[in-house]
Amino acid sequence: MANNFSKDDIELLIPWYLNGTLEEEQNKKVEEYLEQDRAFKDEVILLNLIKSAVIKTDEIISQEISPQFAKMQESIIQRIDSTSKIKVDKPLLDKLSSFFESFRFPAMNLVPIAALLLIQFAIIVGLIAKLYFEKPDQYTTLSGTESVETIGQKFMVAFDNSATEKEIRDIILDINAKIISGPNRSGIYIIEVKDPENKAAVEDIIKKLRSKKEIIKLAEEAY
Amino acid sequence: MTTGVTNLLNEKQFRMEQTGNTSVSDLALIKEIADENKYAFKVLYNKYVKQIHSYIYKLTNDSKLSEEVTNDVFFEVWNSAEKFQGKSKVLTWIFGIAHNKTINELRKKKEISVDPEELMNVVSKDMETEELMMKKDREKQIKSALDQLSPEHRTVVELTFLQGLSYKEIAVIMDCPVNTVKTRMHYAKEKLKETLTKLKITAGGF
Repeated sequence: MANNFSKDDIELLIPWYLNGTLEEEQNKKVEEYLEQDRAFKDEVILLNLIKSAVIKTDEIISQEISPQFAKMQESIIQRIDSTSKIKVDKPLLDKLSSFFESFRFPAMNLVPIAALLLIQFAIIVGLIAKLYFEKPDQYTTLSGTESVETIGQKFMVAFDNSATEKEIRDIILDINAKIISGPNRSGIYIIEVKDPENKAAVEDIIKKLRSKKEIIKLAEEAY
Repeated sequence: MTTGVTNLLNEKQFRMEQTGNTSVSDLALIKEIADENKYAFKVLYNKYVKQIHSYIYKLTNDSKLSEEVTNDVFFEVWNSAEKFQGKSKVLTWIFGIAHNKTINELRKKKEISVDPEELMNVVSKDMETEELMMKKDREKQIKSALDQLSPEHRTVVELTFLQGLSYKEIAVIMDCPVNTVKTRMHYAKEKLKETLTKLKITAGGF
């Protein structure tokens, strides 16, 4: 008996012994076994019959059918032509995937990823900083942005929209005042009259301002 | 592939068509096909279409279906050429595609085997001798016996005896373990043995 090969093992290999595709060592083992077991030679005969039957059947079929290979080839070329005209762009995901796969070492994928994350972080920080530090609705007023040292009596005054610069200036000069701040969002100025003599003088100034109804909408003592 | 190689292939293909010399390797053809060289595709097609078509026809027993599936197979070859890694022979790869597509089609049709009665055609007695008629009858019965095998068993028999493939190659094509290939062959052999014994076919029978 052949070493390490049972009868069943050898029997299963016979078809490939017959078609000559066994490895050299397997071939040798089969032949050794065949020499020792007569019954196996019958098996070889049977399989040879089957092989002949298969080949013969193939010939019969070839005679029965006559496929139009030339036409088939034409048809498939047309199919190839019609599909190749439609060139579809790779989806973005595929492109991204290809991009990352192009890196030789997987760890190199971290570099572009880290760069992307840094950029994102910088954008977020920048937006937050802008929101936090930006003064809301800043605007330049007639009084300017410098802080002014004030010592006199202050009044709140709002001018009519139609008031001209000359009219406003005349009123201010008339009461010997100056604008020290404003206008604020409500259009109110703070004017200062230098050292009014007394309370009555303050009331006089208010009366005077209110008398210019067509120019001044509001005139009040400011505290 | 460079234009130079493509031109070289075109020239070789031209010579092949004239002389029938198949000097260009299958692997070179596949590489050209991956570069969308239709010339190379036609060469490969002409080289193997008959084998593939015959194989598919035996499993389906349907000439129209076998033509469609054959073309599906080669269309797949065209589309998948760039994915071929060369781990098996090109023909093995093509047979693998053919096997899968055929089995899928058969599953759709739920065909397992052909009724042997349909294949027992009456041979005309007019022109042929009785001996010849008996021989043809036997041949048809053997064909019928082969047709009765399931596609899986028929495939193993065909690929072994007609295509001359090793059991390892067949295992790749059928995507199954090598032991499965061997046992399927064993089963097919036992089934065919019954028919051959019944018909009293001997070595000289063909």
